[in-house]
Amino acid sequence: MTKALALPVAAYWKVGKRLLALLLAGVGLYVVWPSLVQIFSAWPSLISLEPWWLLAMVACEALSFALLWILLEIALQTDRTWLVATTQLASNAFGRVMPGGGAAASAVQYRLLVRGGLDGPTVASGLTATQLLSVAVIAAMPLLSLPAIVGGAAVDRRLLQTAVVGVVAFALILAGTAVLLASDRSLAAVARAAQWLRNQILRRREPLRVLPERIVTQRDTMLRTLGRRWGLALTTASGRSLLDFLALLCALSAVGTSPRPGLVVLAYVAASLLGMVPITPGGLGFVEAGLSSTLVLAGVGAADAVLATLAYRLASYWLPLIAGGVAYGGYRVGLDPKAPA
Amino acid sequence: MNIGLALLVVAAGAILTWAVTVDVAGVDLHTVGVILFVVGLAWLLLALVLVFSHESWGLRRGRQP
Repeated sequence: MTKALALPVAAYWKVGKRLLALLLAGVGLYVVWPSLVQIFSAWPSLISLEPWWLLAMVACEALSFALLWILLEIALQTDRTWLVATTQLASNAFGRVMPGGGAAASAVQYRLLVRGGLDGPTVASGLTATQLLSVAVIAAMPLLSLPAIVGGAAVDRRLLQTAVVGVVAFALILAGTAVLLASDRSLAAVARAAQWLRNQILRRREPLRVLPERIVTQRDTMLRTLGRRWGLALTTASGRSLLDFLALLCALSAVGTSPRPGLVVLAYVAASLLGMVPITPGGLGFVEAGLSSTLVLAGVGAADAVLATLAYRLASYWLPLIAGGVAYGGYRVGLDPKAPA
Repeated sequence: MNIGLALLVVAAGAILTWAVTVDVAGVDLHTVGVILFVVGLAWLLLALVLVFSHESWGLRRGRQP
């Protein structure tokens, strides 16, 4: 009797959570709708942009994705490029259409990789390491604007705040990662807290008991792997963000403006941080509104900023969305039919 | 075909294209930057193709993933 009553409660809870996420996404989209309309109304002007710069922008984005696949291969300790690439593209696209953003995409990526035959704990620690490294690189990017700021460029106060937030986030990530890498006790304590939380939320599932030990073992394995290939891991993580940033510079050049990279990097970091806010799928609307307004603060004309934002988001948001659908088909084709569903 | 070197060429090209405003007699730094940028991207593409094809070659020869 209790079980019969408990099941619908769990189902209601699940539906409730999804409805709440949808509601949040709806409210978020409502708030940024005017900016989104303004950005998309510039659509017909895309045809007037410099085609070679647009091509360079798409090339930068494509190469940025390829570098991410190498980083993932290092962190996941595999060389199954097809599996890594298709799951990354498919989960990335999923995270851009479903509320929940990066968290939803990571959950899907984990499931697809494990279904593809990779070891669960290795995938969990590998994806975490990749995300930490990627976020740390983006947070460190405001340091690139230091030459411009020291050189006496007039920098808007709000852009300076973005730089400070980025550098503080970078320092916190660096300190937190250093503690977790060096101290078994700290890592085990974090894993114990995660285990307790998971067991409290999913009471009807088999409780986890050895998560701290498994996480510490996985961290050691990952450190051994990254230890041998840390140079390539750091190169690919930095190269990936560099190419994404260069895609934005190409978009600005395609519009015909002469961007100041030292200041545009702050606009890029602000847009990247906004993209991580899981209110609307993939930060849709928030990134467009944030990027175009921060580009204006960086000295780009308002109309040019809108057009460049539209072109950049075309390559960084909409094209990967289409590629994700195709990649999911490729993933299904490449999947071993004997693998458990 | 080092990925890091290719990225350095891309970065150098980007700096000359967008960040340098100095005029040097007889040299168009902007054009040099664009050329370096394009060469760097092509080099990176080639390096990535080699990395990925080397991996699949290793798999074809029976190396464990």
